[in-house]
Amino acid sequence: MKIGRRAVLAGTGAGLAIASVPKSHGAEADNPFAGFIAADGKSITVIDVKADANGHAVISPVDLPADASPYPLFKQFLTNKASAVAIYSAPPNHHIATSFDTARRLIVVVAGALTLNSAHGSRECGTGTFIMLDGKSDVTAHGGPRGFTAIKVQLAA
Amino acid sequence: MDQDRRNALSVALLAPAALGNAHRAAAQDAAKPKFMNKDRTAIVAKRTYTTDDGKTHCDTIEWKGVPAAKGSIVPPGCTSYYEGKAVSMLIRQFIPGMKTDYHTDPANEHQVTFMFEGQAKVGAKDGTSFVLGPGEFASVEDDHGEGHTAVDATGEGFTQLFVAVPAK
Repeated sequence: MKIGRRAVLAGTGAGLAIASVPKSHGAEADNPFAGFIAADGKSITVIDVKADANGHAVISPVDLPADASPYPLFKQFLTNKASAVAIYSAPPNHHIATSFDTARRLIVVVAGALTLNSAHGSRECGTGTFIMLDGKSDVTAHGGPRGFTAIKVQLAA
Repeated sequence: MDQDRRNALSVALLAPAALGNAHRAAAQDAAKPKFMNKDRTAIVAKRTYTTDDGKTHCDTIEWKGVPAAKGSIVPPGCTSYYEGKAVSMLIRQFIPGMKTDYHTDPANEHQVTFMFEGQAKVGAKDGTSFVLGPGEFASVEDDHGEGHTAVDATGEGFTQLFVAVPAK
């Protein structure tokens, strides 16, 4: 993130005050979660999983733009109504079968890695990957050699 | 061979093994996610909460791992640490220098949060506080009472996932 101006604001909705300073990127070089927001701050990259006409999952990265935010003090992404949330771990090399779940669900890999598989191919998703599963498809997954931990948010229509 | 030489030889033979163990332990520790407790049976989340007297406090909470239940959104064969209904979600990137006054969550909502980038120092009026860094969870449960402050701890901004859940 780069904020190219210095600003001091006070007295907005929640009593917020800011004094911005330039950001250095060195300290976050080892952070697997750094960098999922584009350098211009306008979008984030998500691995999108969507069925083609034959029900085979197309697994491809897409850039999703920031949401319109009423506040100048932050940017927002993936703003959604949600119906359920879970935090879970899969053991090493664990196979996850095709889901018949038709809801949209976001999975954030917060530790380890998994591989998504479909008739169209495979894609490894390491720590810090955002995956958007959009409806039912033939996608399956298997955990990496150390397994993985993920946050799953089931989105509401 | 006298005793001193035997001792010296045994030290020389054992040292690489000891170093190997230390290396393995370090490697295992490196592989352990920051949010896991020592024996990997629970996720440790930092927490704000309000007691019956309306005072807000900071501490930690453990979400213990249990087998995924039938009907769960957790895939079969996985360990579930946290599961429940949700209201909404968003990822919020706060600008550098962000600082809030004391505030609470929306009434009857708690937030399950995860820090991606940067650090936030969260504090309560009783003097308790914590720093939430990358790869750490927090459970924000003070939807009433004195509330808490959140301050950008590095001056570089911070980015967090928020999942709003119904207050228990």
